[in-house]
Amino acid sequence: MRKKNNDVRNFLPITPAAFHVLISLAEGDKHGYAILKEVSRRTDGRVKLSASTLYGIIKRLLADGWIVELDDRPDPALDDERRRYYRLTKLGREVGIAEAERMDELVQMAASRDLKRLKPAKGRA
Amino acid sequence: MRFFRFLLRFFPFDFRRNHGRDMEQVFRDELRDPQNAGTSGRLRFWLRNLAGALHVAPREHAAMVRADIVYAFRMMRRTPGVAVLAILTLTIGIASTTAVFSLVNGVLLRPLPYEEPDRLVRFQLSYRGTVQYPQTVPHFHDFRDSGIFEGLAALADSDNLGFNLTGDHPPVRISALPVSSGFFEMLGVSPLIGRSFTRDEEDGVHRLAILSHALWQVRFGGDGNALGGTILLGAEPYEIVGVLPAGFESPIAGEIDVWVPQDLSANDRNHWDNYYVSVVGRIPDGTSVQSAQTKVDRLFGTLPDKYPGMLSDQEIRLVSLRDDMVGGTWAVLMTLLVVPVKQTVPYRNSSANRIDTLLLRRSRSSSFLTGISDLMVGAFLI
Repeated sequence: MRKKNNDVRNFLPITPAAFHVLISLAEGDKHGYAILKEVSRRTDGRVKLSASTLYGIIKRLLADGWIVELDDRPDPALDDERRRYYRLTKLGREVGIAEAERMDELVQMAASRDLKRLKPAKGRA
Repeated sequence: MRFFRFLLRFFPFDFRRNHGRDMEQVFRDELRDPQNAGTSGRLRFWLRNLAGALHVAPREHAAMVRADIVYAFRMMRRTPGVAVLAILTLTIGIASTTAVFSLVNGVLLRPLPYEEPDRLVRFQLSYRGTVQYPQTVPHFHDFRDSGIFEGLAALADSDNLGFNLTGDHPPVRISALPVSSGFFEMLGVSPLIGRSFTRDEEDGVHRLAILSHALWQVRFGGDGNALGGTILLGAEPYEIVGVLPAGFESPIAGEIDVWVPQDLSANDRNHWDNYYVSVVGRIPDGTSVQSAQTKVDRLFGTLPDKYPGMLSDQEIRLVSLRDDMVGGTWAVLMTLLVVPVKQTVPYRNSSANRIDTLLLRRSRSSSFLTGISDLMVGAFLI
């Protein structure tokens, strides 16, 4: 169900969990458990996705055409054939990059306004 | 693992079909992960999965319904003529079905408005394959005095008689029905005020009237002093002896304005060969219709000896009054019920096309159950 407008910014923002999955797949094809482990490792365990959450995201990413399911296995001899692998598509990669740029802009904006100065003093609402 | 499979049941069928096995695999992998070992690790693991399932499953259901609604609207927009036709036919169909159900409920499902209606029967005369309801007055007397029935009453079988109600008011046409004494008692109905007829008054001489509640209200304003007064039926005065409770309807004849005594005296009209009265009776409590029928057969078999010339190969059958009153109505109502169903044919044809589309969608990895839910959402929207 791809949106008609090909400008990837129309897809933004995306949820942090979906962004984590995109980043994870940017390194290479992975099956579900590998994505989950990668997200956990990359965030030092701060982000732990459940199987339900992960496959809820995978379903949407598949429907939007950001990732595809692979027919072949990267290394069938080493891995369980029952696992399904996913690959980032060109569109998915573009969306991931666009989201990263959007967040980068936000960070730069916060830095330029010296966000620390805007932090409310203790005891004040 | 069993608990996780249980959690999976909360997900839509399509979701389970596409991802259930992978989710189980991930769950199994996580169970083996040392990070999830230990009491606290295992507890966090379970809570994470429980929360994830409870959060994602409803969202997936909502997404599925949302997609169905979008799909249904798209289908309706693609074939607006069919949608309008479907709405119109369903409107007519639902309206007529509702009307017919009201009839079915009122006529067929509700018990007859008489005391213990299951014990009420009607006489049916059978002769060489033909049946008729009218009986003769002499036969009625024979059965009334036989003790077979707790109560037996005769009423004029001809269409209820019309009278011109004259007097001080402008004349109006009303319906009147001659009935024997014991008619209302047999049905378990007592007059609201006054009394019913006695046997002495079946002589064809007494001019008495029992009013319906409606006529009493309209003509006399519900005044109790109407009792003992007279009404003019045609040119003849009839003394008002009773008023029936509101809503009373005569079996067979239906709504009647005035009841008058049936002439059951011995005269030329009331010959054993003149069949013109309907007979309705109440079988005694604890007696089966079959048992009463046997007694009727036995008595009826003796009557040809009593009435020389009477045909001997006639039979009297006891028919449940309820079956008799609603029996023919079934066919009419079933016909009426079929009509609304047939009205939906155009929409059904359209649905056939949709089913083709659904099969196509199914082949594109969507489940048939999802297709069914599409149809239901579409029907709900319409």
